[in-house]
Amino acid sequence: MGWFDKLKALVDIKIDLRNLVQITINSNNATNSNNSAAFTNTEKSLIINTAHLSEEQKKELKQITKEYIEEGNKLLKTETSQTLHSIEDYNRENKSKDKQILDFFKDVIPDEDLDALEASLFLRSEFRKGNETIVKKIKRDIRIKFGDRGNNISNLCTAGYFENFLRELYNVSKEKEKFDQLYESIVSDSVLAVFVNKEMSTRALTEEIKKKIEASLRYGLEAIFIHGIGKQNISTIKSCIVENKNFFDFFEKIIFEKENIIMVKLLIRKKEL
Amino acid sequence: MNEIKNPTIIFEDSAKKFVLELLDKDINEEGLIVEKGNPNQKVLTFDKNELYFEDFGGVQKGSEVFIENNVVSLIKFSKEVK
Repeated sequence: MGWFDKLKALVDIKIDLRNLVQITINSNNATNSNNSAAFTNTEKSLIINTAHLSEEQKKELKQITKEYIEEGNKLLKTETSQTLHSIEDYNRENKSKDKQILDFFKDVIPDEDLDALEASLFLRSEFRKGNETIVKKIKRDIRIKFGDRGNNISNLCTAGYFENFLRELYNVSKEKEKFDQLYESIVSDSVLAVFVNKEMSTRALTEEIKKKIEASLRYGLEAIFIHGIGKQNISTIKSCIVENKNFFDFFEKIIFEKENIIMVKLLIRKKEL
Repeated sequence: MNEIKNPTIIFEDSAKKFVLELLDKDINEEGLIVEKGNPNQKVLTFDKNELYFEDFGGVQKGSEVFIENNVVSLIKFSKEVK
């Protein structure tokens, strides 16, 4: 008798399991119904609430689940299962173009950065599809694993810096050491770009821009970029430019704005003596 | 003749403890998943990292392969473990 047959024997006989696709186990003590059901179902899914199983039933369910795993099946948490499906879809649909980027940077950047980049390319793919929920999770997971550095990498990746700037930079750098220094400053200190988030005030943004300009001059970079996504961040950037008109008038600005995204390129000129 | 496919089992966050119990695992004071019979033996993920209860994402292959609910880890898992 397989695990599914044993499960059928465990479940209330009135429940039709013929078209079942998914079984979800929870242990939910909270209930707003007098009829606290151990088993609830739709045509294709069954929910088992262990909080309403007898000790004997729990024991049986544990044994059934063990047999399910021993058959070679993955037993996953709901969110993990959804994320893994998204990753598998991404691997099928997008991999070749993003793989080219990963292959290029394989022996160019540290292994941990490569892992962060790989996750960031997946993040970018989901961001472009508008999958907000998983985007938040991926960003959070990258930060958990790689801290601020990972966060910088994901911002730079989403904005296309790896293939549009860093790859070119590597190709034109005569010495790897020079590339490594500049790469390090861009990724760890984020000298090249400011990514505005909703917690940033215009004052904080102004300070950040001034710091980047100083750092960029030291590294010989010709421009810095300011990125914002969303109404609030766009407004912060525009307010910053208006409030500091005298300061920003010193620089040539190129502003690109489309739908919900703004990018400001500030060309840095060295002051003439 | 078409083979009838068995359904998939998944579990919600509230059932993590239930799942660990069926796998004979426990949680130590630091919040790490450990062997029930030997609390000094910490459970490792497929990529050899300790696993916190809050990050527990699931198992595969007779409970030998523990999975972390983190995208970075899951990307590696999708490539390495079939």
